[in-house]
Amino acid sequence: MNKLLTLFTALVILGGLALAQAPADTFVYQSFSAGPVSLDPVRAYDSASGGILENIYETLYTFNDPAIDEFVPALATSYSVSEDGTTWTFQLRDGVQFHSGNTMSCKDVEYSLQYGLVVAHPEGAVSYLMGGQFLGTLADGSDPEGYQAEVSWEMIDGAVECPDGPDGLVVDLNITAPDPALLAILAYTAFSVIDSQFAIENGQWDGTEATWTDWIGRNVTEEFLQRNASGTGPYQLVEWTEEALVAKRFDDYWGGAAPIENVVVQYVNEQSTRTLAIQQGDADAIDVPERASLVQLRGSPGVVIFEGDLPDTSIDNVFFNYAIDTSNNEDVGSGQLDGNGIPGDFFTDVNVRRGFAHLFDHQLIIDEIYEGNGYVVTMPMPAAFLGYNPDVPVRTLDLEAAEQYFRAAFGGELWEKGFEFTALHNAGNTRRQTALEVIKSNLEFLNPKFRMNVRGLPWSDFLARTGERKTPMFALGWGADYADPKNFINTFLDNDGFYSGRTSVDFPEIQALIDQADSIVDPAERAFLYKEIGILVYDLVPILPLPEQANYLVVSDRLEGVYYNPIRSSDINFLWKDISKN
Amino acid sequence: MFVFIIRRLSFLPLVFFGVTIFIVLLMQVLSPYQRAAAFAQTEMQARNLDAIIEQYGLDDPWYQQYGRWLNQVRQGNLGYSRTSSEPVLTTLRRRFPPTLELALFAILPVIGVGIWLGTAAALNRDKLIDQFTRVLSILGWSLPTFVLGIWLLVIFYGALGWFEPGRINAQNIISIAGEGSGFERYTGLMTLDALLNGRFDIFWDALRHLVLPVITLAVVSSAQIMRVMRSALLEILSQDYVRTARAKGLQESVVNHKHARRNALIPVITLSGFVLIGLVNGVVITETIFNYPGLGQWAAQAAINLDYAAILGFAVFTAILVVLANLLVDVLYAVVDPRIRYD
Amino acid sequence: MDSTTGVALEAVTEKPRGSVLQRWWASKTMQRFRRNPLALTGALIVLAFIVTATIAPLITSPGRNCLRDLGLSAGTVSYAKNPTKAAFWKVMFTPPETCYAVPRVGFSPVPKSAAESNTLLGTTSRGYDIFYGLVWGTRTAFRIGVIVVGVSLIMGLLVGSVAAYFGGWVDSLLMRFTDVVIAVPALVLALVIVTVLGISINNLMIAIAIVSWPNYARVLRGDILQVKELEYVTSARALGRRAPGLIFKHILPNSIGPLVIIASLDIGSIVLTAAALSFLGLGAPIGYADWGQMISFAREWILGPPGQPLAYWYVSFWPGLIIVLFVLGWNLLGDAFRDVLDPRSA
Repeated sequence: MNKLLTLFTALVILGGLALAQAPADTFVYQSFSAGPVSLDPVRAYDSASGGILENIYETLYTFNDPAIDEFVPALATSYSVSEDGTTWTFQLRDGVQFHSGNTMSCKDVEYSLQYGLVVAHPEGAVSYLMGGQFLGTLADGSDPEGYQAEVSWEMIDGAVECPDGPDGLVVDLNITAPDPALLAILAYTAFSVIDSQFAIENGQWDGTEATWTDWIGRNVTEEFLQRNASGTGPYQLVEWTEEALVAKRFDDYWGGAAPIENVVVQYVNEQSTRTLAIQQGDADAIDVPERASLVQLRGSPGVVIFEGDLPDTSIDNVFFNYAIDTSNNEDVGSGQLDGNGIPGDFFTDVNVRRGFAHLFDHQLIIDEIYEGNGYVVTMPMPAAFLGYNPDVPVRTLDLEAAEQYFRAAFGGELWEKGFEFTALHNAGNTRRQTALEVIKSNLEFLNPKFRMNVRGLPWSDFLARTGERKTPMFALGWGADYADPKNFINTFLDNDGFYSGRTSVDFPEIQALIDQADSIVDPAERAFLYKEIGILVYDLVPILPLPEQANYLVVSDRLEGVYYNPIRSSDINFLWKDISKN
Repeated sequence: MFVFIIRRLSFLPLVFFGVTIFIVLLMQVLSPYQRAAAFAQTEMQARNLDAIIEQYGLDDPWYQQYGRWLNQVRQGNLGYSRTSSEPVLTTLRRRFPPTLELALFAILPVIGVGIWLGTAAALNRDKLIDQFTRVLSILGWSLPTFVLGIWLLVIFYGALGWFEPGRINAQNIISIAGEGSGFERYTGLMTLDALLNGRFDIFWDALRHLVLPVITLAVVSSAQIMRVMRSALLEILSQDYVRTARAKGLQESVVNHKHARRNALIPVITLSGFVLIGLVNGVVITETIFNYPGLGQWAAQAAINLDYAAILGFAVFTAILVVLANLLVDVLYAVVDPRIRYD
Repeated sequence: MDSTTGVALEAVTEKPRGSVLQRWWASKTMQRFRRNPLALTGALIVLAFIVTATIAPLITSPGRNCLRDLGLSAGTVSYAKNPTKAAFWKVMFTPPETCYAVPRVGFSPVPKSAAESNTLLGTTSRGYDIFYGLVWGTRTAFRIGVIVVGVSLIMGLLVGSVAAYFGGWVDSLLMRFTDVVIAVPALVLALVIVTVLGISINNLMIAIAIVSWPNYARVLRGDILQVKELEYVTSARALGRRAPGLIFKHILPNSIGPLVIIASLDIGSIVLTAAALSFLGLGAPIGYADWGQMISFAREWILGPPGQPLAYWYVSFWPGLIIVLFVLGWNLLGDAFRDVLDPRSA
């Protein structure tokens, strides 16, 4: 008995040691993600990666935080545009040092942008956001030979030039047509300036024509810059493991050393761990992907919840895959329309999609998941953006309508035979999971032969699987790269858009409107065209936009300088350098 | 004794081949594509499975595939894990030390408390401590790790906030991160490395994080050991030579210790083989609950992700581990049991 | 293992008198069993679970898909509890799979207490009714327990009797194979099998059966080898009876009784393994009445709102308690049986 008592006492003592707070020179942020996909700016295209990159690397211009559409000089000090709008000349900042000690000059900007165009990684952002402007094509490196057929070295070489020589401080960007959004796009992390000497010395692309074809579409996650970084940003990378990424202040930062010395981004899967960490002062900011978890945080001493007018610039949807790869795919059952699976073209029948749309309950998500702080989205783009059409009707829960559409699908065959498939979401995202579960619940009630499974996958696995076009239906979203409808409509619905690689989306009527909107610059005309697209979204149901919510931010009350800029990649929406801690 | 050990050693390849054949047979349930994952070494390969199917003849009869797979395993290629985005062997290497640390810490209370309470109960048969121990052992035995783990978290983390999940806390992750920190990871066991580096703060922190998972792991196993120890000791105490020793006028404590207890250890050692298996089972659940970055957590994630390469690699690794540990148990057995020495 | 061979011998040498039931009730074994309070507690607990499983439809209200598949509508819900209606018998004995789907009170990720959700024990996160899940989960538990015990017994019987009967290299081969299966941790092996076969409740049962049979094979083999030497068997053999007949007519009937008892006492640990796999997400689909899954919901709700650390206690407490009680019941029963059946502990 005495021994038990001793043991218990020991436990109490050990427990008492727990109450140590994160020191004032360290900012601890617990992220819900499993960590960055890549630290290579040309490969990264997710918020976990971008949230690191925007603090380690810098771009020519950056957002005037917290504004989403005003820009301030960063690595450039000024710029001018040629009369025809196709040459942008940037004056670079003098004496900017990389973390490695090298000094930044034009050759680094040239290398960085060209490296992105050379790799043209299909899952990166460079080709998608700038391929059109620089090279006149959205083609990416997924098919290296096809890419070479469209893109020559001369084109890449000519896109970025150093008129004052490689060590000069002037850089020219040559684009194919005027683009009013160029500055906004260039502020994105994919156009970060890499330390060219550091990269080349360590085996990354050597920057020459001789090797460029070797790097087209290269899986750069196996290369040096995946885990190593020398940028100009206020923080430099110390270590990145599965559990955490550690960065420390870069004392030679051109803008002056940041107030906080160390930053730790911990990748913590469990909400309860994150919640307790901020309550106990072990973390200074945490991700709370589910609004419901705020219940456990409201009123905690030392915890501040920014709520209210924080507009979100992201949109979640339920996506249909129009050409499912049914080989070696456990998510489509038999892969046939035989009651035990679905065929690869299952969602090409408009009645199937309309049927699904009438199984979803928008208000339920708003009430139960957003605690009433949400609104129905009529078309897949943020309501604040140009061309959003609030007057489009929305298909919502209506079992009779759903039955009518499903009975009509596949000439009546579907209703008789039934089907089964698995829909995916990223594990831990309750909003997406619940959206799918609501559909599942109503679907299975509609007809006992209809079966839908809902499965959550870890983030990277989820992206890989949907990227292989294996997932019949999935819930996923898009956070704005820049504030323009194009960034959403094209991303979701263009047959060359980012999601086309996951859904093979192809609606000629919508495509015609998208192409038309892309070809003009007049805002009123563009707005009209996007509103038309909204009407088609109702009719054809190419995609199911989920309701959106007002955002919120959970930080420690020891942090100062916190702001909310939804256009920033990071899920905490501010830069590390701007905050201090007491 | 050497003969005995050698005989037991011969069981080792048997288990290895048995388990691997079983695994390869099981793999035949999968499509060649799914099987291919167990051969890929990089993400690139994992995305180009057709080439792997061809290269490794994954459409061939299973015994041919078995040969090739074994050859791969011999070269240390256990496939590419999608869950950890790296080769399976790399993950195994990285995640084994935390699990080993957890298991080592769990064995102490299991053996200690189990043998101590078991002895106390047997020596005081039908007295209060015996009744107490019996009830305790049945209760402990009936507490599933996942229920106990959750309950401990609710109380000691949720309500009291004493012990958080994970391995060490945030500040310590920073202070030992990177090469510049001067923290050398000699063994991969956080507590030991902390001591070797002279970092007592980290040692305490790591220890603190181990408390709940260790208790969770230890309860079920100590209950089993307790029961076996008690009944074995009772049986031996009633045997002739113990009575004789007592009749010779030897002190009770000497009788109990020298004659009875030592012999009672034999079944306990036999059982510790099972305890080890119990621990391996337990770490899968325990690490998942406590967010502890070991093999078990990885295996559970891999299973849900249908990460076949990871799961098969984990199975092979575990099987080898268990066989080696059983061997150790056998050696111990031979040391304690006088009869085996003359074998 | 020793005690179980003791069981076999005792059962074999028992002299027949009275009907089987009377004999069993009056036997020394049962007398000792009845005097053991722990054993009685165990028996009561198990009995309570059996009753709960049986009357599950009577004490819960079915969800809408279950009602639909029973052919009931909102107005005829009470038919499910009325013995004069067909729906009653259907839901009692052949409930459609949809009745195992736990009804949702809502979709909110926040658990709701009994009062908030108007349910008996509250709801888990995402609105699953805890009481319904636990009650119907009892059926799931017994179904898993009984089927797995049955299947693994048959596998054990086959392997054990073949090994014992043929002896020689067949015996060695089969027994070494058994050793190999025992050498691999059960949960790990089951995890591997479920992953490969696909995540479902049936595959879960297959996996657990595959890891559970070796013990039975070993015990049965030992019994047969001993019984083989008994007088009446040797005399039967002397009379020229052929060996397969011997195994089935004389040896198996004598060995199988104790083996069935041992095996059925394993229901507790089998259900536990199943619950553990379910907890990890490797069992029934989300929302299926299943204890392991019920408690896995608790992982996200360890913490309560500030100042009420135990606000969501019911999410982890009830499912945990039910699992612990179930296992405890079987363990008490098993413990007592092993005690009373073991002649040495007299």
